This record gives sequence, C-alpha cells and structure tokens, in this order.
Amino acid sequence: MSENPRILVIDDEPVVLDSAKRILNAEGFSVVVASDGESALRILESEAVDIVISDLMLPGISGIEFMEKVQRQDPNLVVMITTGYSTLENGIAALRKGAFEFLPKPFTFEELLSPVMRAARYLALPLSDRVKLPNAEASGCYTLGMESWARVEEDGSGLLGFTQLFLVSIDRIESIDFPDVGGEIRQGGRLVRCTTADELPHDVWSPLSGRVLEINEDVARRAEVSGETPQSRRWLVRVLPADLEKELLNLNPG
Amino acid sequence: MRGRISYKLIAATCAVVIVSVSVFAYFLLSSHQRQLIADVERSANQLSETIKSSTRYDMLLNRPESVHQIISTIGKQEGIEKVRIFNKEGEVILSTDARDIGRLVDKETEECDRCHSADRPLETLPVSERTRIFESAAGVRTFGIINPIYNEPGCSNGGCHAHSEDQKVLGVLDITMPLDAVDRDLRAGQMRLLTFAVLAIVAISLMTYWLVEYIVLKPIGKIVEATQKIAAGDLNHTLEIRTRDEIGKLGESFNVMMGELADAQRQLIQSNKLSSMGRLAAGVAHEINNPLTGVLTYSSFLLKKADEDDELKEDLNVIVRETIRCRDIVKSLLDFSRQSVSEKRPIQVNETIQNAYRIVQNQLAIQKIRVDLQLQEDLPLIEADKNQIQQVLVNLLVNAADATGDDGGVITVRTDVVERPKPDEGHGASDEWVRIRVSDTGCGIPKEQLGKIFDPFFTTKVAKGTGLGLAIAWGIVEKHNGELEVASEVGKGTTFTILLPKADSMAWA
Repeated sequence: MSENPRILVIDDEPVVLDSAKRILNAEGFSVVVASDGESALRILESEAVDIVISDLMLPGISGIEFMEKVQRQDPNLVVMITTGYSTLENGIAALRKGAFEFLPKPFTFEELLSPVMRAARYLALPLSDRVKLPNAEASGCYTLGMESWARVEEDGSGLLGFTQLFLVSIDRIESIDFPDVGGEIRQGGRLVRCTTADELPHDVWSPLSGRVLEINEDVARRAEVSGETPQSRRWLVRVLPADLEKELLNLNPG
Repeated sequence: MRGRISYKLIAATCAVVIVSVSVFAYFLLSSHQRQLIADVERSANQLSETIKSSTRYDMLLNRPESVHQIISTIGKQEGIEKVRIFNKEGEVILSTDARDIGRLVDKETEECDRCHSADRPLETLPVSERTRIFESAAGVRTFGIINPIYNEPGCSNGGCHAHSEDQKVLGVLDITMPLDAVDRDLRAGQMRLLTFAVLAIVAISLMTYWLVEYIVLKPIGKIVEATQKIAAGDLNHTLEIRTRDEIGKLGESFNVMMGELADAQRQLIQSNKLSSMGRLAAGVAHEINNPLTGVLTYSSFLLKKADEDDELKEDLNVIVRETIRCRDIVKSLLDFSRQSVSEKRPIQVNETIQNAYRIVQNQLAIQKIRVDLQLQEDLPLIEADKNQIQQVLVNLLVNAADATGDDGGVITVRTDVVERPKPDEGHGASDEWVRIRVSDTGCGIPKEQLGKIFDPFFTTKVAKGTGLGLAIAWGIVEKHNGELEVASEVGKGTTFTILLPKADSMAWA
C-alpha cells in the first residue's frame, strides 16, 4: 500500500469510465482513462501505468488480444478484464490467458475496489515472490488465474482452494461465505467470498464445476488461514467434478 | 367445386341411363311391332282358310251366288278391306268390290309375283311368303294374304267350269286388311314407352343425385369446410363424420392429422418465441449492464459514505439492493439466451433425478413435503447433457414445492418407457421414449395459464424468481429433441411430463 499505483481504465462507455474514476480517486488512486485500444496504447507508451482495467470488447480489438499485447511489452503490468457479457466462459478464458482478475459488470464499488487493492498489494511484493507464489502449490494442481487452484484426488473428487498469492494480497480474513453442501458450483462462478478486516468482499472464482461434497470445517470455523499451514490443509471445498476432462483444459497446470 | 362433381356424376348417369333405356325401348318396340304383324298374319291366314272351307261346298255345287254371299258378308266385317278370288288366268271372278269383277291382274304384281316369278309357277308357298304389306289406293297401309285354291277330285266333276284333273291350282283367294288399327296400337305403345323412358331417366338421375349428395358430397363438403377453417387459422376444429366407410376413415385420419398439426404448431410457436426472446434478451442484457454499472458503483459508493446517516443509509440501501436484483435478472437472461452447446452423452436419467432430489432435499424437508420416487429399473439410457437435465428436474421440483406450500404434500417422480408411433414410417414402426413425470398435490394451474407458463418471464410467484425457469427448461428439453408438457387441475395438483428419445442401441453407459 506504500506505492500509489497508477490505473488505466479502458471502456467505450463513458459512464463506466466515470464511475471507475470516481471510486478509485476517492480511495487515493490516480486514474487515467481511454475509450479505445489505440489511445490506450498511446497512454501506455507515454506514461507509467501499473494497473490496467479493460473491457473485454473494445472497438477494433478484443480485450484479451489487447491484454496479451501489452503483457508482452510489459510483463509486470497487472491487467484486469471487465465485461457486460458477464458470462462464465469469458471470465475463464481471460483468467487462463493471464488476467489478474475478471470483473463482471455491473459491479458494486467494493467489487471494483477489491481486486484493485489486491493488485496494489501484489505490486508491493518483491518481484521474485510475484512469480513464485502462484506456483507454490505442489504439482498436480491446476490454477485458475492467480487465485484458485484445483487438485484431483485419487477417489475422483476435486479439492479446491485459494492460492497463497491470494492470501497475501488481502487483509486479514474475517469471514468466509461457503457454498451449501450438496449445492452446485460452476467453473468460473463464485467458489467462496471472503470478507476482510477492511470490509472488502473478495470473490474467489471456482476452478471446477461440480456438486459440493464437503467444506473444510476448520477454515470455516476459524475463518483464519495462516500462511504457514501446508497447502493440503488449506483447501476450502471438495467437489464431485461434473466435467473434469473438459474443464481442466481451461486451467493452467501448476 | 361441389357443383362440378355433381354435374359430372349426373351427366354420366344420364348418359348411361339414356343409352340403356333407348336400346331397351328400341328392342321392345321392334318386337312389339313384329308381334302385332305376326298376329295379323295369323288371323288373316285363319280367315282365308275359313273362307276357303266355307265356300268350298258351294263351289263344288256350282252355286256362285252363295259363294258371293258368303264372301260379301265376311268382307263387310271390320278389319277387312277386300276379298277377291282369281282364276288361274288372273281374272277376278269374285270380289267384295263389284268394280273388280272381270278385271285382269298382271302376273307381275306383287300378289302374283310370289309364285309366278319362277320358271314354273310355284304350287305351294309358306305363309310368310304369301303375305305382303303395301299402300292401298286410298293411301292406307294394308296387309294382304293370298291363299291358293287347290284342285280336288270333286272339282273336276262339277257341271260348271269344271277344271281338268291335271290342274293343281284352280285359283287364288286374296284378302286384304287395313293396318291402321295396328299402326295406331303401335304408336300408342311407342308413346307409352317413350314417356316411361323419359320419366325413368329423370327419376334415376334425381335419385343418383340425392344419393351421391347424401353419401358422398355432404361429408366431403364437411371436410372442405374444415380445411377452409383450418386455413383461416382455427386449428381446433374437429370433423363429425361417423360413417364406417372410406369417407368416415378419411374424416378420422383428418382429425388425427389436425391434432398432430396443432401440436406441432404449438411446439413451433413456443420454440420461435423462445429463440427470438433469446436474441432479444442477449442484446438487452449487454446493453443494460453498462448503465447498471454506473448506478451500482455510485449507489454503493454513496452507501458506504453515508456512514452515520441511518436514514440516508436505508434509502441508499434500497437502491443498491434493487440494482443488484437487476443484475441477477440480467444474469439469468443471459443464461437463458446463451445457446449453450449441450454436451450430450448416454446417461441414466434415474441417477440424474436422484441428484436433483438431493439438491432440493433440505428445502423440501423444511416444507414437510414428502417425495416419492417411482423409478423404473433398467430404464434405457438417453443421450443428454447431464447438467442440463438436472437443471430441468431441479426447476420442476422447486416449482412443485412452491405450488405445495408449507403444509405438506407429496411430490411424485415417476420414470418409465412409452412407445410412440414414428410419424414418417406408417403403421407398426414406433419409437421408445423415456418418460419422466413430476406430479405434485399443490394448488394447480388454471386452464387459461397453461399455455403461458413456458413463456419467459411468466411467473405467479410474487417477487420471487425471474420467471425464466420453465422457459429455460423447455428450451433444454427441446434441444434434446424431447417434449415437455403440463397437465393440471386447480385444487388438485399438476403433472409435468418430459419425454426424451431413447439413446441408440449402440450407446454405451
């Protein structure tokens, strides 16, 4: 939080630019806006920007293409994708391609703030950690974006949890909303929602679809997850995967 | 169109009747005529023989006055024109017409020609050769008959103009009779027959017309009317034709066809409704999400800022809450409109039903609703997307629970197999379908609403749900080439029936 990250917001809808600017300015971030890919690229060339929030559909270029382009140019850039087509497929694709976060519209101001704060914390980490942490989990895991992972157990069930990176990028967790046992979750849908001490909600997107078999009672009860615990104890939800083969293709191997 | 068939039939019948009656009449008339002439012939011959025998004695006794007397008396009878006797030279020696006596008749006249045309005059002649029909001097059609008078032993002995023994024929008796009476009879007969024929033709034609009208044209007219009504849009018209013949069968098939057409149209309409709604939904959803973003971010921001001001907070909370509700509605709209590719695999639907049940189990227990699963064992597999079918079942179960309320009730889920005829392949060929029925003992659905419940956004649950559940369910079932139907009675309950085609026998579990 020591730095003051500069945020570039790109969207062809003025109201979206206005609201993002208003919110982020109020929290002390400096914001610059653009309404298409070309002007965004020009800004990126001339100014120092740390975080990019881009709509999935930009005039002339897709948000994902844009993201890949700028990430090639500056791998340290944090890019988040938002969209009015709040479909799960879009979110999953963006996360797989390296987006830091996926922001479905419409979002409340907290839902906008949450990933930005996480990004800020993430940027405050030493470079070596930034790369290492998402892969800190043992092999055999698959990750969706930077925040959640899935591991297939021998009995065919899937263990789902959030990454160490996610953990360090948020404030202390006060409570976690779990899905109901027996309920269904979808890949790219919400796995859990963590509410932190700074009153921000943080959604973790689920890496797999399936029926919820079990939730980690420990974590649920104590709502406190120490960074020291071995990864195997930091799972959140056990599911019976609905379509394992197909969905694993959407994830990145750990 | 009706007119043309009638006219054709009547024309055909008339033609047949006219021809047959005419032929019949012709033969009848000819034979009648022949009969009459034969009668005249016979009676003429008899008369001629009678005259011969009654004058013979007087001839033998050479009493010409008596002969003349007899002949005159006979000649005066009605129906006889003239009686003459010729001698063998052709001289008229006796006649009822005095002017004839002494006249010579040429051998070549018709009456003489019969025998004298040969080299030697013929001595005998059959009756039919001895008759002739000619026009008399007065212009009347007349019948004539000659009868040879043969030589007998007594004749050559007589004292008068005795004939020599070697003469065979002494003379000829000639009788002529007018045919006007006969002709009158004939004509009368002809008239009668003609009248009869005409009446017969008319009667038969009319009868044919009425019969055709009643047996064939009336039912056909009904069918024509029905097809016209259908063309005008009224698909619920049924035909009332109950005869057991081919026309009755036509009527029956027609009704069956109409039923299927109405069904197919309903399905098509529903499908079109949903797909155009889907397209509309996707467009609207996307457009709305951006302005919603503005509203939601600012209102949630203000809510945060209204820290101490409780009243303001409350008001802002309403805005935030309702905007989030908008978001949910839009999200379900997008879910509904998404042409998601179903991943179809052979699945055992009984399992999917059990999964769906597990999901809603808790809620049902709270409402004290009992669930009765009557699932047929060894149910054939169906090609389906497990998740989507499950979604449909969960939706139906939730609806059933909502209809039942909190005072308990029973939801029954049954699975079995039904056979339905293949429409394209005629009799005998039929398909096996897996049938799932979800029945509840809830409040039922009024008849007027039954057609609307699968429409998007139709809901009877106030402030709960988006009204898209059944529309989505219907879309899923349709994408699986199945059918989703509902039957309900207010106050008694509702049954939803899902029909899904069996997976090919090549499928593996």
